Amino acid sequence: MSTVQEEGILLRSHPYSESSRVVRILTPERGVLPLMARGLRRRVEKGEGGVDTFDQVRIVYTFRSGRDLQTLTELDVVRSRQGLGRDLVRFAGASLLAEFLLAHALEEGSPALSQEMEGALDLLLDRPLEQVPGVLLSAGWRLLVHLGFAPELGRCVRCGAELDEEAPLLRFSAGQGGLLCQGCGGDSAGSRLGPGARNDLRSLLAGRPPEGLRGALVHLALLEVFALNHLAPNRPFQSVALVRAGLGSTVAR
Amino acid sequence: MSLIDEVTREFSRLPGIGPRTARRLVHHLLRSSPEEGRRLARALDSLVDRIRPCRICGNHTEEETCAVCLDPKRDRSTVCVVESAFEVESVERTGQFQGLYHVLGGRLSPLDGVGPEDLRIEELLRRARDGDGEVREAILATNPSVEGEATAVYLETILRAEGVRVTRLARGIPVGSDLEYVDGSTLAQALAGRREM
Ligand SMILES: [Zn+2]
Ligand SMILES: [Zn+2]
Repeated sequence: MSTVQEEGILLRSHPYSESSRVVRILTPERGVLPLMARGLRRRVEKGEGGVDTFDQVRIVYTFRSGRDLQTLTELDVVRSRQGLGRDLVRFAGASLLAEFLLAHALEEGSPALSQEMEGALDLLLDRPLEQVPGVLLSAGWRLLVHLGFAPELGRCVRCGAELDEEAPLLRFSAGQGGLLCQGCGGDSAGSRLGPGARNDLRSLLAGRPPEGLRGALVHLALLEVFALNHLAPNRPFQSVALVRAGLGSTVAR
Repeated sequence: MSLIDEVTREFSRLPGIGPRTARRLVHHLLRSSPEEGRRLARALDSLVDRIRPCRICGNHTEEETCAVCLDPKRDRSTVCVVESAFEVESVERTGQFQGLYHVLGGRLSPLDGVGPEDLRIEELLRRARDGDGEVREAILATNPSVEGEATAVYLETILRAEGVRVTRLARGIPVGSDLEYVDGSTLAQALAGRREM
């Protein structure tokens, strides 16, 4: 048994009994860590700096290997991200990223992935509204890359042929893990992407959301289907419909 | 498990009651007259059998429609939207609110699998649409958590599209504290100082 201090991101918190909660915190050392938090609820009731979903927290816990739930002994909010709730796309986007991490049930820590998530949440919180869709899509793809599911965009995922960057429309197969050449793509399922959309996808994957990204809803669908195929969650991602609703009202405004 | 253990466990599931208090409650009942225990059992029985959601606002009621909705003196143009019936009681206790309520039955929380279709949002829209323009203002009194805020933002968009004025409780409520823990005077201030969304 050891006592560990770490900083992480609160992804979920649900009541276990009236006086205790189970929280899931993304930590650099141990991935998505489920913790039993006794008395955390009381802390929140007293209003001494309540803790909220997506907050950056400093935690102290006792770790015993082989146990499903570790025991949380201290929790402090380092940085609140409550402002994510003030816009639907920011909120639903942050939720979608959290859903990716929870679906994967990451058991090993990855400092790079933690950093990516932290950065993504901060950008979702701070960037002007028109940049938020690009930030979200890019962060979604970046998390998938960190989790080991990078889509292949340079070569045909079936025959391995190098793809022509100028080719008019190429099929993107989520199931097969990326783009198909024109010869292989004929009978496959999946959206067809033109050179512009493929370029945008490359930029998103590289963490450089293109300015004035067009077709955010199409890119959202690509990301969703790809993540469903590779993360194989127990249920569809609940946040996607809300992101869509938010994007719809943003576009309409 | 013995009967005493079983009842102790049931008590300790209740909010604010630890195993020790639960044991004390059980032994108190065993020491008291049998009638005391039976009265409690009967009251609990009726509670779960007879209380149901009001067909209009979702508040707790023993009838089809709750007392607030039936009261002819209430201002029908203002609807206070809350997450749960518990909060109806909190706002009522302030005595500062003369309008009607709408209980959502939760808040948007995709991470817990709660989407708009799981809340009483359709019902709220129907009230805004079918009341012949009767509902003129919706006061969004969801909790100031990240999920409560997002729920308010979501409702704002769709209510405004129905031509309803949308306001939000003022920020007298400490961040991260649920509405149910806020004292009456703070809540009354928050209502009075509500702002346009
Ligand atoms: Zn090919
Ligand atoms: Zn009612």
